[in-house]
Amino acid sequence: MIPNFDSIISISLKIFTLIGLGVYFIFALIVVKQVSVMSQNIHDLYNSHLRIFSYFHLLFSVLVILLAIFLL
Amino acid sequence: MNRAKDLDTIAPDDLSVEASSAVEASAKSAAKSDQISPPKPVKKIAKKKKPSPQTSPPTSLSKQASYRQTVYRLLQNQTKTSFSSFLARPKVFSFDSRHNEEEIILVLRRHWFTNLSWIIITIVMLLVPIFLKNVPLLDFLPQNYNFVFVAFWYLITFAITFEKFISWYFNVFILTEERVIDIDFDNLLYKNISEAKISMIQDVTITQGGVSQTLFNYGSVYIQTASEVPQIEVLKVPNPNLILKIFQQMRGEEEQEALEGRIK
Repeated sequence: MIPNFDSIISISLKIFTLIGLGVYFIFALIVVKQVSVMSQNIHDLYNSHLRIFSYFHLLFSVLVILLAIFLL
Repeated sequence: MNRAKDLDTIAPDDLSVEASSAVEASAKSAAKSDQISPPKPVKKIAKKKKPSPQTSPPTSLSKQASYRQTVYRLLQNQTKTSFSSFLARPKVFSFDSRHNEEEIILVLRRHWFTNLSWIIITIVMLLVPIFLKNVPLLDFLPQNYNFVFVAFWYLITFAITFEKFISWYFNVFILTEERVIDIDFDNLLYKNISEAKISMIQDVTITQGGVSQTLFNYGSVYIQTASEVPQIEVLKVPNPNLILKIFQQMRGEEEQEALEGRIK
């Protein structure tokens, strides 16, 4: 039985994409943590806005992972 | 027996009747004066006013205040918005190790011109997917992969922009009335905070070189201290000459304060 190389390649590509997006999710978590640490050191008017942006970035990475799971 | 008339003291019984009556009158008047008598008008004697204290020579406190007022005068026309690179006496800004009532004189960040490179890179990255519509670089991938790739590309663009911005925003140099603090976040995982008292500053050097630094008036400030951290570097900040003048005044104020402490 000849293996379907297209499906193997497609599955491999999907796995590597999901692994890459998973690593990126960890990076987004680190960004959230570091913005929190920086905000503790320096108190300014826009600290809350920057925290919101970091959470938005984390949410965006989760959405892209979900997109990759359902679309690929 | 007749008593001597030339006696210094005359006893009452030595006097004649007239003299005795005069004596009695004087005695009565003396007695009357012992009684409560109406107040006699007293000539007001102009009291000598105490000499007012002479205007003392400028005290050390006023000298310190003059240094501080000079600093305020130097900073009066500087901006105070939160996204500025040169924050003069900010009202909202604070930091973690700040003492109560410690006044923040100056907050410095890198000049905005240093951010131009990543701003241009961000704009280019935003335009790349639009460019790829015309150039078939990803046509070998299925359509769903194209969509995920574009989403991931914008995610990366946002991450680079955000990381560059917070790196600029949170890397600050703070000058307070007591000390200097340099907060550096070299990357997301490395933090370096240096602090030195103004009295420990031995030398302040500024450098300003190159076309962009000359055109946009920014440069680097190097602060030599006698503390554990021998040198604090504040790179590519605006108005380095003004910063030098402010440091001169703050050091003068600290020296005056130290001199006053020794005198006391």
